[in-house]
Amino acid sequence: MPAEITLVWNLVILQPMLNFLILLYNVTFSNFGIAIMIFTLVIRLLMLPLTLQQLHASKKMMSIQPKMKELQTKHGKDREKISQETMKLYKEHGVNPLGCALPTLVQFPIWIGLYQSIIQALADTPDGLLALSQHLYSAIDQVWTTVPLNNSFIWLDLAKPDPFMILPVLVGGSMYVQQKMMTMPNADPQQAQMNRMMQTMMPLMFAFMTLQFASGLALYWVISNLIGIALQYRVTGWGTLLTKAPAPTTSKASTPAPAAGTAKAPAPAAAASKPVSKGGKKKADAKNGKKREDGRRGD
Amino acid sequence: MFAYDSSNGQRRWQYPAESDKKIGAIYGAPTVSAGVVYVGSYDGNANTGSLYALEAATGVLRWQFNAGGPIVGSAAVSSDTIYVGSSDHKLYALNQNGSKKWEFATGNKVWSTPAITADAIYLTSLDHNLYALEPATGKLKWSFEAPGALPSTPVVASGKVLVGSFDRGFYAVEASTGKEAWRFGAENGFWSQALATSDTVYVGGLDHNMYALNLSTGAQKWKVNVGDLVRSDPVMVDGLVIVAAQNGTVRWLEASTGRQSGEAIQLNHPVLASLAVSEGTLYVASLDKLLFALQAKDTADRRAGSQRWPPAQT
Repeated sequence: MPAEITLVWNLVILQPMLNFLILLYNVTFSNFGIAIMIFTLVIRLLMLPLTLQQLHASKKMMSIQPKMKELQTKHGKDREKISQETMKLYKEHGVNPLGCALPTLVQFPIWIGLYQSIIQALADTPDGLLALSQHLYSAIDQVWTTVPLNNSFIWLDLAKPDPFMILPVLVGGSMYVQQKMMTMPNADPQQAQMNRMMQTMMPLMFAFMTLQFASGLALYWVISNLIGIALQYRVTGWGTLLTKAPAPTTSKASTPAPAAGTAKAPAPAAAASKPVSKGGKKKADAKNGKKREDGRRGD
Repeated sequence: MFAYDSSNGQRRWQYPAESDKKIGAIYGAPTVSAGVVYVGSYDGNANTGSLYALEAATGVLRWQFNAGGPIVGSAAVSSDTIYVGSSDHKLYALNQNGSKKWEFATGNKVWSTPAITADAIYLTSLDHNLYALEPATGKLKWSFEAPGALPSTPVVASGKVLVGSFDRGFYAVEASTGKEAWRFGAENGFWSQALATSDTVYVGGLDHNMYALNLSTGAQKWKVNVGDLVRSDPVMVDGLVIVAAQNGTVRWLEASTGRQSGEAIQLNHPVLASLAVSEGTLYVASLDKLLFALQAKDTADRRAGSQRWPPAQT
């Protein structure tokens, strides 16, 4: 990273977070575990509007997936037409395609800063402490008298991996639950297969990383995942967590299987322009194993 | 751990001799006494460290003392005792055969080198305390508590113990009583070991400044911005204070005024290790495993006859 960008990054993102984290450690009676928990909670609260916007946009986007699938089936390889109809569909349902991406992009630097500040604050080596000294605010006496921090928390040395491997299990487990809740049923067998793989691989990957990383970071992941689960539940419910994922159907080009949780489209064109009536939806639910549009069972 | 012949730059030995064996990182400068080199190791992964006593001539291991945690500082050697601090919060006093005489437990890591006088062993700890101990028994004489952690090695001069703290203060403490004589405040902490003369103390700060302070009062005589943090311990040659900043810039400063003498030398390699001078040559070890030899004296061309190990690839 060029020196100027690093400088701006440190000034705007890293240093405010790092100093705040160390001050939190001060007010939590020198308990870095509690400080990390409160720190994660505060940062997630500050980002709540963005997170909710993202979740709602994602939910809306997923709800029109069946209709988009129908568009693709109807117009085949006519990309231009598909693009036009898709935009029309977005407009009809008030979906902003940037609604998902923009909040994620804005949050991204915050996540990196949060991660970096925890790692820096955990400075356990002479090099780490030297690096930390260059990021402390000279106006705040407490941060200077506080470092180095006491990294002990329950059975953990927060600068080292969890020796009992409880945190890797918690990180993997909480991430799996969150992934399951986030993933909406998908009729596309390829996509469904990919979703299932992601649901398994990501938690496994993070659990494995937790085996190597400082447990303070793992603690942050667990708390962050739990908050994510709570927010996801508030917006979409349990998602596919409590339901069996639909078996991938072998779709035929001319008569594709409808996405789970959607009415069996009477005619693709009508589906694209007219929302399904409540009665129609109920009938469709019955035909589709009583699954609702959001992936939850209707019974 | 390497030994080089200062006359021709040839490597004499390395420890362990087998290149595939490692003893961990070495943070502290080696201490040489009575034909023995003492060096501490830092194994962060295993959270262990050992003090190795090696034959200075051959590099053969005499003994190894396993401390309960990584070692950052250097060993301090008196006539019959070797003292070394460890990240397991303890100071160990060892016999010349490596057996333990006594140990003293502090409340946090000991990353500094103890200072030895006839009356006391002075020890700093990251638990914010400066301790004065009985040399024979390790019994506590007094302790002085600073607001911040004390990572720097204490220096004893004119009846005062001089230590730098992370709390941005540099302290002079009465060696006999442990009472604070004065405190000098800076913009960042102090980690470097100070250099004291009869009336002045020179110390590099993590705020990128080199300071000269009145030893009696702590009043600032001069300060010079050296461009980066100073962790390396300065040395004095011919009335010049030689200081290396982390960015690898070595400066020669007039002890009385702080004015820079001649051109600074940019090594372009990060320097945290203490500087060493021997027979007119200044030795600077960089963080990326290079050792530089420069003219220590006040000459026009300080690079004349300079060497680097291993040599630069051409």
